Amino acid sequence: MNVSVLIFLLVPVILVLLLAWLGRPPKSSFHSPSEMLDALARDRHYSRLPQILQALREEDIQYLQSTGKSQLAARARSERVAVAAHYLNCLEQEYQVLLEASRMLSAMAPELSAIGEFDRFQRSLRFMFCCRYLRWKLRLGLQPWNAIGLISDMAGDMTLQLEAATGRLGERAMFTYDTSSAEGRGHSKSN
Amino acid sequence: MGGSLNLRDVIWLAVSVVEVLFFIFLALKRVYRTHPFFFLYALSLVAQTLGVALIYRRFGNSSPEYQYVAWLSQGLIVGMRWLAVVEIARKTLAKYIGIWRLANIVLFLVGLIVLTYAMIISDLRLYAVVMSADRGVEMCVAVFVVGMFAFAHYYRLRIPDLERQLAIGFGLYSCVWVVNDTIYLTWRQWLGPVWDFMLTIAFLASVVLWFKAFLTPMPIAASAPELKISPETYAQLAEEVHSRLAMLNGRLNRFWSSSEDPRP
Repeated sequence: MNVSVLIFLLVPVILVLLLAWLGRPPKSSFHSPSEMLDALARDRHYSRLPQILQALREEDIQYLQSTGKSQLAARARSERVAVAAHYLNCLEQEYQVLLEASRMLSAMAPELSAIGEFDRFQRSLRFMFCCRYLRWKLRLGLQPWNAIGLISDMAGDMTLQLEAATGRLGERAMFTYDTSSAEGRGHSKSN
Repeated sequence: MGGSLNLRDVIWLAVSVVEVLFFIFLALKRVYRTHPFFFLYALSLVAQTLGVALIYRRFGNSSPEYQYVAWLSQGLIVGMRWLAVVEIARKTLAKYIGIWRLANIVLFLVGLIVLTYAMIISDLRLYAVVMSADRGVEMCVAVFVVGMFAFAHYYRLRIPDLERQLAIGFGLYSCVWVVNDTIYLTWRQWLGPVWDFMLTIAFLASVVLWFKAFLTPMPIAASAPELKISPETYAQLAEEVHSRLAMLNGRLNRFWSSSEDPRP
């Protein structure tokens, strides 16, 4: 059996599996822009940022170790790692909400950039990967600052993309508003 | 021609009856109003069956006339299938203007790449070239259907049940077609006349799925995101998204910089 035969036998099988997976109804968080607004307006767990930052600092642990309370230091470290991991979960959830919001904006936008959309898709995959990577680094007691920096950059880029999308949407909304106003005026004039 | 019917003839007859019944069912349901290309596809299936049957009776299945009509009508069928799939994609995605424009370009481009690649890696000797082309087009249709589902899934768009089932039927049938053609082109001397039974079963399964799709009462479509929003709603939407993103970004930056520099 040569490679081309293998491709023509395997690709359809993969396509059928993909069809079965993608054919399910999607689980969307929002059904309308107002639901999205509600979700964005909701308070988030990650507002307890100072405590999280404290949990990631080494001074307290070093102090406990220097005073000979190594058991307490180990316990404090494991609890703080758990808190930081929980914080990461919250960031991940928040990112998901933003992604959903940006997808909803894309569904409403009159034009999408292929490169921009692909870029966001890539970034969302990277974000997921980084979150998992960070979580493992935290569990293993390593310093995950670089990965956190990456996540920060991604969120920054996402902000810019959403700004552009909402800008285009705004232009369109204004255009629709102007057109319908003009039509309304024309209609009343003809009457 | 004449004599007793063999198994292949019986299957062909059964499939023909199913095609005719399905076409009558579609005509009674007035599907030509809502899905004109799907209706034309069903009509072309019946026309192909009748045309090929007439040639078969007159010239037999090894005559050049039979081969010519069979492959020419097959080209027509594949073309109609392609149009029906595009119609489903348009019905599903066209209300999302930006996504539809992007999907249009991406799906056609991907389809073209798949078709070209399928032709490049195929056996292009004279006896196999028509079948290889047919296989390439079927692969292209299958990729188009899966791509449409991928777009809908990524943007969380709800595909109406009717369109979903029609598309799944086309996708499955095209995938089986590719496998069937590959099996024929590679192992035809061992398989003999049984090679296309799998395709017949896939076709019947697709027709059952399409019957079911058109028989199921169509629910009121789930509301898509509002396409025409007022400037006030937009302003509120944009402000909320921006403020939330800015807050997240700021916190992430603070989290990062504090982690880099642990001094209080």
